[in-house]
Amino acid sequence: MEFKKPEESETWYFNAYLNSFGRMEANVNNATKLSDKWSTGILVHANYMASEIDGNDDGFMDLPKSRQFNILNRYKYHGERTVSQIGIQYMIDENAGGQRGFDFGDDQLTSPVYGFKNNARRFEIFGKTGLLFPEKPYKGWGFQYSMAYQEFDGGAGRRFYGADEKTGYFNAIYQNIIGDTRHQFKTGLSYLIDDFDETYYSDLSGDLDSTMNRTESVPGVFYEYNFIPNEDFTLVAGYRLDFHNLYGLYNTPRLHARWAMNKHMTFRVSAGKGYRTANILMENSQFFASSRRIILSESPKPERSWNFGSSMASHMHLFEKPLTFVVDYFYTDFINQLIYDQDQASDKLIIYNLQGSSFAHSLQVEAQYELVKHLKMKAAYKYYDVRQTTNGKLQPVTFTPRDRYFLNLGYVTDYEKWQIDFTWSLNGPNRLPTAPMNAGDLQVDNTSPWYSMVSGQISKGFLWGNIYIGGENLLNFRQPNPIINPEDPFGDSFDASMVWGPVAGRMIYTGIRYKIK
Amino acid sequence: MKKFVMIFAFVAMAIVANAQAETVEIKTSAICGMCKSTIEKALAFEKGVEKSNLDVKTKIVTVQYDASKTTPDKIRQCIAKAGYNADDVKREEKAYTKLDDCCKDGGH
Repeated sequence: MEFKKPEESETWYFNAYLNSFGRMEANVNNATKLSDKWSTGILVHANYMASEIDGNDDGFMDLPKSRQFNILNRYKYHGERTVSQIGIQYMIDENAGGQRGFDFGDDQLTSPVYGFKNNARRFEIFGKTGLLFPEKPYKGWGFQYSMAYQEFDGGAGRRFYGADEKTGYFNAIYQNIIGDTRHQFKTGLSYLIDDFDETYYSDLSGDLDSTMNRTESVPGVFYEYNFIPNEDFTLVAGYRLDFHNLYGLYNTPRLHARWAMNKHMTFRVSAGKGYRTANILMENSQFFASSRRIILSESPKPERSWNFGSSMASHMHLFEKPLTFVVDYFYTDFINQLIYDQDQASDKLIIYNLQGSSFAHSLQVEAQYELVKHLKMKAAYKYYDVRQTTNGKLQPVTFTPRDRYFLNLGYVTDYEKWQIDFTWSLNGPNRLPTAPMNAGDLQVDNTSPWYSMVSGQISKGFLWGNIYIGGENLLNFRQPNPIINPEDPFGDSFDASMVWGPVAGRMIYTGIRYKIK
Repeated sequence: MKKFVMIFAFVAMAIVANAQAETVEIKTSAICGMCKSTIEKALAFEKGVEKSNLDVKTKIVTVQYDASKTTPDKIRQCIAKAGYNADDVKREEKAYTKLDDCCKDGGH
């Protein structure tokens, strides 16, 4: 008997990036085939920016200093009856912003300058295993699991926010057919455990001061039926039941359908229910950088919504060149949602459960066409009508533009020897919080203006990779006075949470990608 | 507007017609579609090569090149460097060992 010598093969991939703000990034990836069935991959990412960019001269850094290190190692096994994967990931990320002079490791609570800190560390183990039946390709078992620990330490000014979270997740799926492959099903169970500890305090009188601990334990079961009578039609009906230890029973039905009318036209519709538990403070750390008192006026309930979606995609030929045209429409109707109300008072952020209606209509139209050989044009329009009952009134959600236009021209020669890319986007007005300020001169407008962003990139390809140079925000557009009252950050009317546009100006970057096989 | 001008200048550069186009046919050791794309890609990045097309059945690659910038011999060297025999020029073994299994001798 002769053993086949394991064929080792290794691929390396490097990427380095530098921009005019002084940000550096590096990526190193390695893929190694260990044997016929085993392979491993390592992905390393690091970025670093320690310069203090203050283009508008308000004493505040336009973007925080940042440094991150991220490593992921994954092993894959590909056998005849078993495919399996296991990986570990570690990430450390630190950000230091605020007034110039605030540095990594400084304590914002005692710093003489106003500081913004956002430090996170995360460790995760994840994996999945599939059991296959080569003679019955429609049948199989799947198992997925992950365990993560993450901790967070940050805040702004004299505010502190710290949290740690331990999460475990497992699911098992079995799939098979009913009679023949026109009727397929998936069923299984899942379990989520999430332990979350948060601490928040500040020196502002009337501000939230609390430690919040919660442990969510959510076993669930699900069943999904697929009806596939022919290649042109698919119907998926799914149902899941989750038993939440804190919030009770969740039932989540889901329905999807796809119909290819002919080879040029495809329609999709979907409907379903969704729910999530929001991490109020962690997800809204932008509010920390203001003198607003954070007031949690009632205990938060999970967010629940109904979602409906439909889309039409058409692929045609116009003057013998491919033309793609896609229209998407989504509608979300919230049963409950957390409202972050900046409208009631300029010195408060009041958080409560939705009372009244809240919905989002989104319509997106996109067309792609090859103008001449190698030159493709993509144009899109996005319409978001997102309204919430805030401060007792149904009104547009703040900092969300209703209209957005997008145009992209991409020129790519054979083998990507040259790639030239140009993108223009036009962003419509946002509603800004109505702030009945006492000091009249601090009153901000209730809507933001239209503004354009232009970016471009040129890349030269080689056999080993490419070199690229590009720029973002080429028109150098900046929101005028993004911070309210920057001279007095520890005072009563300071607010850096009213940002609707870019704060940093034009940015030029360059980089290189290198591959060794 | 300046950016548009720049883009179209690049486009124009790329379309400029070749000066002294000549053609050579080279017999290779290619065996599959993957070999075809490996060789054609290597040639695409070789100085002076305008166009190439490999016929997997006959293993013959037809190369259009600019005679003022390269020679048939340099083109054969380029193919050998990618891991394939080119007429009488032997492949580079180091490149050959890195090819996918289906591209190696007896792989098909």
